[in-house]
Order: sequence, then structure tokens, then C-alpha cells
Amino acid sequence: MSETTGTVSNISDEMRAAIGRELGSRTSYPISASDIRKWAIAVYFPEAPPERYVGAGGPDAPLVAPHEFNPFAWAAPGRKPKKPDVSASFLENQLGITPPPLETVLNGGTVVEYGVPMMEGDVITANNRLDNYFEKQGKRGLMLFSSMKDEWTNQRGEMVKRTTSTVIRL
Amino acid sequence: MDLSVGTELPPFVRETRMENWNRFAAVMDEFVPHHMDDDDGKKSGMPGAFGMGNLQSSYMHNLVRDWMGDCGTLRNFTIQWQQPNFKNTVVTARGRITAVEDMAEGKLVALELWTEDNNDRRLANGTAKVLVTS
Repeated sequence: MSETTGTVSNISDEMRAAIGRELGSRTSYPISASDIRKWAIAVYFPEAPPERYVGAGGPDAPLVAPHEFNPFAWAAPGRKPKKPDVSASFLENQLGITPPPLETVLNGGTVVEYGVPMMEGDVITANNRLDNYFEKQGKRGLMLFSSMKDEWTNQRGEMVKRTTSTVIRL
Repeated sequence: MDLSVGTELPPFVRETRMENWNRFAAVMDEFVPHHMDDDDGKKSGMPGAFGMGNLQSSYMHNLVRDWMGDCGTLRNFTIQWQQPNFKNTVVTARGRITAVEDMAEGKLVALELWTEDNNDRRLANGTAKVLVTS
């Protein structure tokens, strides 16, 4: 740990050295029309979703997925089902480094840039990396911000979306 | 479509209860105990179980999609969560136009977005940019 003005930083040299490292890469199963319909029904419940998400689909008129659809929920090739790591040290656990001594984790927000839409039949590849660590003084002390960048592309290499997610720990 | 700055989007309203959260958990595989069980919600310092932040994001997306229809393309979206969505509350996603920029392909419309509950609690703040082409 290094000293900052009147506080002790929780960003270790090991954490600083990990900035930019890949957190993981994953490729989805082909998105099915059923996946899209179920997602739309869930997020519009109890009203019916727009017809474009629940139509017949198929090769001649593939369904378009809602923008925020997640093709990696439940299963992905080569990924074994496991209990999600919801601890405050989930990020460093992924990196295999020593986590900061903080126990509370908050979702700091998400920024998304959208590219081409996800369609029925698409196979999505995601590449996730640690973007940055930085700190700010808050009412409850020094807060550690950790940002991650996740880029999704489809089977043609077209950009589907770029997401920057930030978590706050204190 | 009225693209004047200050124009409000038609709100997207849902009463939120376990039926909504269970369905979202089922498609997102987000069976986190504090979203499913009142006792676990209380362990997190809340009055009981509370809704998923990502469902607030979907409600904001629904708001924008319902407004833009086939005339727009969502380019950017941001969200910052403020407070949890408690059970049996009515959540309203709202938005208003904050800026309009002429582009070669159409008009780039900037939106301020938010969700609130029926107890005047702001749940999430966001922004979006939509390219309107017709």
C-alpha cells in the first residue's frame, strides 16, 4: 500500500501492475429465438413485449434481440456452472492477485456504446479486461473505483457493444 | 415525433414484485439471495428482498425503445444506480430530450433518463443518445 494525502491507498503495486490485463474471454452458444422471446417477456412483464421480439423468427426473418440481452447467461461453451463470486474481492480473485482489504462493494454504473444489433443465430465473443483502479475521498473514507471494459463482437467480427462497468469498494 | 429539447418521453411503468424479479433472474441467471429472499435482503441492510439493478437498466431501455420505435437507433446508454428497488413498489422509467444535434445521417438526440418509485425515491439515473433518421 502507498500513502496518499492523509489516507492510505488500497491500490497495491500488484493491483497497479494488473491494469490492462485480460479478465476473461468467452464465446456464446448461437442465440436462439427462444432466448430472445424469453428475455423480452421477462423485461416487459406483465405486458406483452413488442412483436419484433416474439415473432416466428427463423432464417428468413431472424428475431432481433433487445439491446441489453445477455447471451452468456446460464451457459457458454467450455464454462462449467459454478456459484458466482459476489464477494468484494471478485475482481482480484479473477486476476489471481491479493485483493484490497475492503468488504463493501457497490455498483458504480455502466457506460455502453452500441454497434450492430444481436440477432437470432449470432455467436457473440466477449473480451473483458481490467481498465483502471482509482480512488476518491467519500463521506465513508477513501473509495476504491475499479473499471472493467468488455467488448462484444459477432461471428463476422462486427462490434456489438463496448461496455465500461465500474464498481466501488469501501 | 417531437424532438424539441425538454420533451418528455411517455413513461414506462411497472409494479415490481417477485413475479418480475423471478422472471428476470430466470433469463439472466441472477439468483442472488438478496433478490430472492427477504431474510437475505435484511442481511444486506435492506427492509427485505430488492430488485436487480440490471432490471432497472432494461426498464430504461424499454422506455427508449417504446419512444423511438423504428425511427431511431440507440447509440449510447449509461446508467448509475442510486437506490434499491423494493418489493411491491411501482417503478416508473422517465426521460426527456436534453439536446438535438444535426448529423449527416439524421438527428442525434440526447436523453436524460431515470427510474423512480411511487415513494419519490430515485432508483437510477442514466443517459442515452439515439440517432433519429425519420
